Amino acid sequence: MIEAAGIEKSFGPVRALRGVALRVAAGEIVALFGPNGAGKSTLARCLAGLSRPDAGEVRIDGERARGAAAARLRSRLGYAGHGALLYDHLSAEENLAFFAALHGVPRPQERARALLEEFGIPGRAGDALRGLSRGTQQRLALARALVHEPAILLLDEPATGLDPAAAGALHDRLNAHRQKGGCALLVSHDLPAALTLADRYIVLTSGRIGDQGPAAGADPAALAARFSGATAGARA
Amino acid sequence: MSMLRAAYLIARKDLRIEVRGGDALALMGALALATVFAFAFTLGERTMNTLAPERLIPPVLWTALAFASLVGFRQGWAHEAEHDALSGLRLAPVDRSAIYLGKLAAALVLVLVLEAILVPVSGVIFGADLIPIAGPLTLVLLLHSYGLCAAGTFLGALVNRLGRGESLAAILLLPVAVPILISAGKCTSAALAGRPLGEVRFWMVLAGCFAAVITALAVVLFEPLLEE
Amino acid sequence: MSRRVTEILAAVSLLGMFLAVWMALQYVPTALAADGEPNPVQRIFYVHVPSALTAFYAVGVLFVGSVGYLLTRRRGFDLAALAATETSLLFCSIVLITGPIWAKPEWGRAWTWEPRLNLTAVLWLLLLGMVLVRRVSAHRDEGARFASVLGILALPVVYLVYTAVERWGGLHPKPTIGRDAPSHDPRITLGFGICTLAFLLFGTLLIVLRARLAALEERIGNLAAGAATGVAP
Repeated sequence: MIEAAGIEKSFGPVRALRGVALRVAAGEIVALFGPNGAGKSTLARCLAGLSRPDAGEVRIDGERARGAAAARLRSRLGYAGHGALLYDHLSAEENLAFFAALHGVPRPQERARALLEEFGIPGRAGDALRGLSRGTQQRLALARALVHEPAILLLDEPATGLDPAAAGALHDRLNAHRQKGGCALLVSHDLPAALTLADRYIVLTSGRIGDQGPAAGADPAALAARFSGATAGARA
Repeated sequence: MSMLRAAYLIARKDLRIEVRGGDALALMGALALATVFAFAFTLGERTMNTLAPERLIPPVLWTALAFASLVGFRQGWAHEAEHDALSGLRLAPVDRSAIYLGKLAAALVLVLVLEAILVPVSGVIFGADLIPIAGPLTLVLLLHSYGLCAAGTFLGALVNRLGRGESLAAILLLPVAVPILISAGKCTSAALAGRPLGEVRFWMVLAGCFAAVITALAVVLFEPLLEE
Repeated sequence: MSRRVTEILAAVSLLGMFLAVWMALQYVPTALAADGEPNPVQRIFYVHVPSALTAFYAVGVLFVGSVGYLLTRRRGFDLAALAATETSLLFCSIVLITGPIWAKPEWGRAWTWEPRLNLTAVLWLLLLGMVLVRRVSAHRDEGARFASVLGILALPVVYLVYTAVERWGGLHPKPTIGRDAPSHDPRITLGFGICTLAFLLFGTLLIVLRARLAALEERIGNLAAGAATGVAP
């Protein structure tokens, strides 16, 4: 379970997040939508502990992720962002094994091989990352995020570059994750697909939370129109 | 996971990348060589042949090492920037200082490998017999290389975050590494002249203290450096 | 610092500088060179040493500001650190320029390559580097953070300079005022004291004014950014 309250983040004069609060409970998948530049990726990074908010706090399982507790709580998180968070010169297997070892996973090599098989990248185990296609790299990035079986997933546009089959496999994986009691925050531009998977949705515009509600019954087209309209309104 | 184990994993990963397809060592070697010959041309044939090795080798060697190692420090951090892999390291449940220590260890290995080639070659081209003084010389090299890497790894991280700061690295390294450079010059000179290291005890201790202080400060200051 | 206090500081330090100039040029006795001839160039000592002390004092402010910013992330600390960096760079430049002017007639060489001189030049380089780091940074907070981290490393270098003379010797005159030394003409002591005080006050004034300027620059930047995106800052 992860929650944030009063998150403020500025980059110089640009205020990316203004007083954002949200909560993702165990067994819940929350979809985060919003126009470009709304601050979705910044929010995801603040929740992951990669970006330090100027104000506000992030709690993981009720505890503030600070000081001595920080490392332990970080192990509960899995994050996938815009970069693959991998090394070009290492093979897929070496990349996964390294992160597995770093996260304290016992028998990292085995885990790496198992993940490669699960995500459909077995024959490529020995190839350096550079030689892999964009879609394969993305699948590997997701595998890395899941290498230590985290309970809380923060995924920033995870389906980018994935073919329909791989995107479908990701959906199934997230469903299974939810059934086991895990939770996830899913940043997405694919409203219909995300709404099918998620329990709730939240809309972020210009650093503030606007619309939010249950995913069931939400109309993707209307939703999209509303938050595009919301941006135009603010500029007026 | 203990900080040392995490640092070991990170260092091993860095060295694996370097072996696999990195060009840091080659670039460092090339720059070191270029520096040596820049000295050769500007000092002129007479100086190069007549000036005693203990006067000539320390400045040429340590200048070449200082600038060459900067390349190594920069490269070490460039890998982390490519696919935002540094975030991957920061997400791991390890002390962020382990990242610094791991990178420091890897950088030190590269610098020592460079020295293993550069120093014997210097002995040959400067006409100095290094075998009888191999012991003290190695000690001097180890101590001062560590100090250089401790400062350089930290600054490499800072410069890497800045993006445009390639040349800033050289400007910033010099002030921070000054005690190391002064001490390295004096100790290397003493070793080459065949004098016992006890004579330059003060400088060795200074270099050791500086290395310890820089490491301690870097470990503490590393977290704010990595922040976004 | 409130307007009133700043105005008083400005008035006092400017008066102090006028007084210092008079004392340095007129009041103190002309020093004698080694051959007994009067050496008016020695008067530059009354600019050189106070500038050095002011530069070190500014580095102290820089250090406190850097530590304060890293611990509290409060703007005020960073503004002080930024202003102190530029101020110490200014006074360090004065030291490096006045030093050789003094040295050439006194010791025959403008620069003697001893540790204290070299370390002062290196300090200058570090301060310049810190100014550049802020300039090259993507945005203020990043520049502030990196400069703070560097600032904390800067102080040991300064300390090294100040104790360099004691430890490594060299031609650079050892401090004789305020330590067990042959008694000076009281005018020299007074002149030196006034000059130092005036420089320190002036340096403080520069730090305050520069910090205020930086704060205004930031506010303008924020307002401009707000206007561009149509959203109030």
